[in-house]
Amino acid sequence: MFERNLTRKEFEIIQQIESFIRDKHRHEAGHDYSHVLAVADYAIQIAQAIPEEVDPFVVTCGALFHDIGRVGTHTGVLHGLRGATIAREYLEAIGVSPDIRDKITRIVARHTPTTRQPPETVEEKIVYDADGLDRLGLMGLLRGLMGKRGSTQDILQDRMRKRLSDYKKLHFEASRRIGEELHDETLRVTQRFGAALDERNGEVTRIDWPVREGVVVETPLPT
Amino acid sequence: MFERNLTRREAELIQDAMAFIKEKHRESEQHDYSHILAVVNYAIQIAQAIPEEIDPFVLICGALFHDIGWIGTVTGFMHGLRGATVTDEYFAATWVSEEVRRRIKRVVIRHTITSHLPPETVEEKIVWDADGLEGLGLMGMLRGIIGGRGSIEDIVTARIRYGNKHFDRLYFEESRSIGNKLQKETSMVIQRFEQALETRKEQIAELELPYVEREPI
Repeated sequence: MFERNLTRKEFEIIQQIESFIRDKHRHEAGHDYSHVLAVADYAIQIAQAIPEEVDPFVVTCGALFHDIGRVGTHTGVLHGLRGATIAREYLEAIGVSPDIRDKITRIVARHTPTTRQPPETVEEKIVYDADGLDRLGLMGLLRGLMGKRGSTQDILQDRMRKRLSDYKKLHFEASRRIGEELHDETLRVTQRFGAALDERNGEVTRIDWPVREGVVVETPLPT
Repeated sequence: MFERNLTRREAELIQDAMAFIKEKHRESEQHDYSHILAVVNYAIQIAQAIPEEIDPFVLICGALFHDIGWIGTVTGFMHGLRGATVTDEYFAATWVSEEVRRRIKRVVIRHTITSHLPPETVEEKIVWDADGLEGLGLMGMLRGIIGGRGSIEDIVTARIRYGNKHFDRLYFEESRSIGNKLQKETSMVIQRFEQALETRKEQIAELELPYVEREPI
């Protein structure tokens, strides 16, 4: 639950950040603005569902800034820390107190395993979960597939494995409740993809070559 | 129907060509070797089902080499013509006659709309259809998503348009009956994606921030 409502000042800052984020994420394909907003929405849902006291300003700002470190880069390997520095500069420039600022930048740094610093505070765990939830659904599956490299089979199997581990890594019971439905839906679709893949792999082993008896075309199979 | 069976010599050359194609397409994501095999398979299925007389060697070699022009390039907008030159060189180094080589090359050139030269012979039309069918199923959809650029919404709508467009362009009744089944399977999944996209739009339309509007002080 939220420990309090947002003040007018905080509300206005959030609106300002929202429009900043909207602009910066405009050209991102996989981590577009709708992903950021969805994460903010999940974060609010989780915050409202758990008994812990949550600071509404810290968690909302953290969610909005969480992927800012991805913008304009080719890889996401450092996006938690990169994002934290951008969030820090921004918040400092608008006069947010150092204490609150640090709480927000910690969320950005700790929302991703790539930073190798797990979330600790309740707000950090909430944004971590919210980001995981947006990967679990079908939109997350699509985002995960877009722009990937490798064979279709490898990518699909990798996605299925990762989503299962995402689900297991959720911190709150409330997250798992939201996640269960998303996860089931995605599982149903990936199973269809998997079945189509198996069917195709099976079909190409049974190509009906136009040959007379005694002539064989041995088909080298995809590896 | 096939006008004849493959000769032993043709079968052997096809096998060599397959090993070549498999190796070359190894690094290709959207047009991997399994895509090529699936197109060969569809081409044979269509050929067996239609009354026209089909040369099995021209058809199969055309299907095997149809996407070779993608290899080592960043975009595919010239892959039909690029592929034809590679195909020509490959078969020129074998016993295949100039006339047959020319017919195989035409299949490669005319399998894609990017060449601006539509398929004319029956073998050309079959490979065109087989390639289109491969795009209609779930595997084709996956390939489209994996290679897709732009926002999620762009990719989902592009898929729907792609499916309809390719279905309408099929030449043979047999292709359409295979395509129908594939499209049904794909459209069920697309519907789910569309629904998820709608839900997402509602979800982000307005954040329910814990803020209570108060009278300005």
